[in-house]
This record gives sequence, structure tokens and C-alpha cells, in this order.
Amino acid sequence: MSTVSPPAAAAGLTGEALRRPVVLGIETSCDETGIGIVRGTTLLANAIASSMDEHARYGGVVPEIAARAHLEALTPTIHAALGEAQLSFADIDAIAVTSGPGLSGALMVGVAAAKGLAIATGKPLYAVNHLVGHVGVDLVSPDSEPLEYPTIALLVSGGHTSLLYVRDLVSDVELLGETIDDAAGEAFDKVARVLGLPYPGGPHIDRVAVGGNPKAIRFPRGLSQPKDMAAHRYDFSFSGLKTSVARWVEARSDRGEEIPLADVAASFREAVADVLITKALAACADRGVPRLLLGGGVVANARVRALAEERAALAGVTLRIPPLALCTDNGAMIAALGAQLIMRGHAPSALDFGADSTLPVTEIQVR
Amino acid sequence: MSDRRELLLAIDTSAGTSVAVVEGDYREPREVASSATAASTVTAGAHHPAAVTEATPHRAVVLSEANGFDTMKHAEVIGRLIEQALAEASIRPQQLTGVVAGMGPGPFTGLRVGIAAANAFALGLGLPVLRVVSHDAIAFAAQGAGRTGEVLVVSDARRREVYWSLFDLSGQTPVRIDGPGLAKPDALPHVHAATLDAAHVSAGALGQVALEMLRTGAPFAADQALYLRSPDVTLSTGVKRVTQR
Ligand SMILES: [Zn+2]
Repeated sequence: MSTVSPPAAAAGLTGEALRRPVVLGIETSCDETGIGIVRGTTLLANAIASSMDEHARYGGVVPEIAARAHLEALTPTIHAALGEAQLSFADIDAIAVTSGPGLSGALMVGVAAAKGLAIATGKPLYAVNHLVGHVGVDLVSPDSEPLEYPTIALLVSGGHTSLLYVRDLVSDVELLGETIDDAAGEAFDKVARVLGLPYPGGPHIDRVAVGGNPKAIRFPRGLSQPKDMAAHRYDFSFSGLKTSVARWVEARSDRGEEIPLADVAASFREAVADVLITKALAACADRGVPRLLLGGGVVANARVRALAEERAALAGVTLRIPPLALCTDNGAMIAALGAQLIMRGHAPSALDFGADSTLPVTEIQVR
Repeated sequence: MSDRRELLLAIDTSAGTSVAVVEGDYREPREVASSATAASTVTAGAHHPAAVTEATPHRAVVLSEANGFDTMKHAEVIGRLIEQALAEASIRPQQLTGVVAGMGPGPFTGLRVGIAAANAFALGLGLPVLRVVSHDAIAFAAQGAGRTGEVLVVSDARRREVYWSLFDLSGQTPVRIDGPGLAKPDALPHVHAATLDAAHVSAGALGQVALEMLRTGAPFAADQALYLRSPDVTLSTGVKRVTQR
């Protein structure tokens, strides 16, 4: 391909540093300060500092609080990652950083730190796409078979809900669809509040849903009507679902009736999992791709995983779910994608990139 | 203080983006005889007693300064400006002895860019981070330009508010007597003092302030950014109903 530099030219790296580069990845797109280190496709360190507790009282991520926390957590988290990998900066071949998408003030902290570190140490710098990183992390999962292409990827978190068609991790990723309102993780947080449960909503809804009947209440599946499936076949909508749960709960409590928490939680969770997995498997069928990869923090949800396993098996689709510590936002996914770019001969990014809160998935590396 | 030569990279993003390399040479003048002995232990056979007495005491110079005046592009320009400042000073990162970070006050998003870059740059080379109040650099530059007496430094804090610091410029170096603080423009304290509206912070001046602090042993600023404002959040007031009663 003409856009790709010959491997030897990439970042001035040669030999082992080019075949199996040691890359330090910096991730600050939301509320996790993640520093990961990989060697080629081997995970060496995955250090994370989270500001989640500071957001709990506000019921969602507060961007300014997240950005302040990143600034304070970066240096100790870099130390922690180097310690975990038992490496020093002299052992690092390159640095990778999330340029977007994400919260812009939060992203800027990582971008600035990456530039400072790269110039100080003379290492090549790669600015990469957070969403594509969620796919790339599968390559550094312990005992992972090489990721096969093409694959459909469903990335679900508090910040994004995206369905990707990945033909090639470093050169060909297509956005099939995404949420048109709330991210799936946000829907969990908002419904948790309606039910009087703490933030983050996912684990608490999982907890109270135990023993509940997922078919007790038929909550709506957003953008799943025939008319929606024409224009929004792979898009998601969760704000109507949240309103529907709230309406149901209000009607009950207005009549002085008890709220069957387990049934509401199980039915809500079923609606989210159903629409996510239905659309992802529809994409697999439409594109003739028998592979589905899950990523993002919502994958921690037990029902989402179980339903994916159940239906993927029925559809003859091979399902891949990285370990949960690699599904939530982390620096290893950014390092993993950076390493792939280097191994495929991509030149480093120019120093002028910024934080792009809406970076499209087609821009895998910001040049 | 003992002999030393400091070579500092200074970064400030409390207004625009400013990066500088400053040099401080603190070799004290002394008796030829004693310095000859001292020098000979280091450079055996090649010592030059005359050179030692000629050493410049307390020389602080700005070797380079690179500026970006866009107050919305800190993250984009910070890398190039660091490279530019180093190149213009003909200094390699490994030659530096410390990194100076302008800690604000300043609008948060931009302010953090410089501090994050300074911290990471220093981390990569194992250098100390010297934290300086950005307003101190404004006062230092103003005094260098001939200002004297009491001066109230005022800079934009957005949302119709300003940051302020009160300085006494009548001594050899500026002394901050109050601030930094945050106020509405019509509620500024110290109205008796001449105000100095600053839209630019020079990293060269910031570096010179750091050199002066090193020389005198003055304490540097704490490692928290000077936001002077709580994060803009409203506590949720319970769950809102979606249906009419
Ligand atoms: Zn994510």
C-alpha cells in the first residue's frame, strides 16, 4: 500500500524493536487513567487509576473532575506500570496515546503528557483511536489466538455504544452504527437512579436482578421496529428505554404498590442485552462475518455476556471476549494498537495532533 | 550557596502556550589560591585559576522562548514549542537540570496541558519539577520592564471573573504579598494598587523566577494546579418524574 512506509523506516526502529516493539500506552479518555506496556502482542503491564468514586455522588462522570484526577494520577500510574513490567524508559521503544474519541479536557492531559514524555526520551509517538484500541486489546489477551479478520466488534461502555466492521485493525475499520442518544452504560446508570441504586449502575442492577424474571415486563427495544431497521439498522437508542422504566415505576408507586425490583432490573437488563446482541449478530449475518468481538465496560454485565454466548453459539458465530480488566478502558489497549501500527510499518504521528472528542473510527492513527 | 549551573526547561499554559530554556550560572567569585586547589582536584593538570575568578556570579539568562498565543490550542502546539525552544537554545533534553511548571492560576483545560507536559517531560529524564505561580512570572517581567511599587496582576479567568495577585515591586525582586485569588472584576481587592492586565505569561520570565528561587532557597509552589475554582457540578436533586401526576 502506498500510504504505508516501508517497515524499516517506521520510527527509526529496527530488528527486535520493529518485530516486537515495547510500547507504553497512555489512556485518559474518560475516568480511568490507564498506562499499559506491551511487547509486540505480549502484555507486560496494565496499571489503572480510576476516579470513579469521585463521580459517584453526581451519578455520572463529571468531565472536570475526571480531568483533574488524570493530571494527578499520571505520574504515579506511569511509575506503577514500569514497576509492573520491571522496565525503565530506556527499554521502551515507542509511546502511544489516545487522541480520541472521549472527553476533550481529559484527553488533553494524556496528549500533553505523551508529547512531553516522547520529546524528553526521544521515543516515536503514535496518536491512536480509543475505539479501535478496544478491538486491538484482544491481541494482547493472555492465551489469545491471533485475532481473525474480518470481525464485527460491539463496543459498549458508559461513554460509547458502537458497532464496527473491522477488516484490518490498522488500516480498515468501518463504523456500522452507534447510539443516537445515551450510551448503554449511561442507561444502566440512569435506571439505577430510578430504582434508588448507587452509581455505577451496571453492577448494582446485576446484583438486584438475581432471581428476577427477565420476561416480567416487556420494555421497549430501541430502534428495532421495521421502520427503524431501514434507517437505523445498526444504531442504538436507550433514552426511550430509560423513560419507559421510569414511567412503569412511577405508575406502580402512584398506586401505592410495591416495586418488584428484581423483575424490573432483570427485565430492563434483558432489553439492553437483547437489542445489543440482536443488532451485533444481524451485522455478522448481513456481512457474512462469523466472528464477534465484545469490548467496553458494559461487557462486565453478566447478562450481556451470557446472552452473547448463547445466541452466538446458535448463530454459529465465534465469540471473543477479552478478560474484563482489558474490556474496561485501559492503557494496554492503546499500547497494543501502537505496537500493531509499528509492526506494520506505520510512521509515527506528527507532533501537532490534539484531542479530538469525536475522532471517527476510520481514523485509526492520527497522522 | 554552592557552585552550580542550572539549565531549565520552563513551560506555562496558564494563558497561551509558552516554552523557554533558561540558564543560571552561580559560580561564586573567590580567592585565586583556594579555587586553584578546588579546580585541580577536578581537572588535574589542566586547571586555569584565572578562569575561576572570572566566573560570572548569579547570571540568569533566557536562552530561548517559543510562544503560541492561541488560548484554545495548547494540546496541539505544546510538543512543537518544546522542540522549538530546545532547538533555538541548542540544548539536548539530557543536558537539562530541571523542568519549571507554571501552576496557574489559569483556565483549567489549558493550564493542565502545560503541567502534564512538564511532569511527563521531567519524569522521562528523572528531573525535578520546579513549580512556580504563573502570576509571579508576570510580575517578574513587569519589573524587568521598569514597573515599580505595588502592582495588582489581573488575568482572565473566563465566566466574567478574573484571577489576581498583589505584588510589591520596590525591592530587588518582586514579592507577592497577596493572592493568587479569584474575583468579579468589580469586586477586586487592593484597589489602591496599580493594576496590570496580563494576557500573556512568558516562560522565560517563569524560568528566571525559578532560577531566583533556587538561588535564594525560596520554597516552590505545591504540586496541585491553581484552579481556584471548584469543578462545575450540581449535585443531583433526586430523581425527576417523567410522567405528570
Ligand atoms: Zn472505552
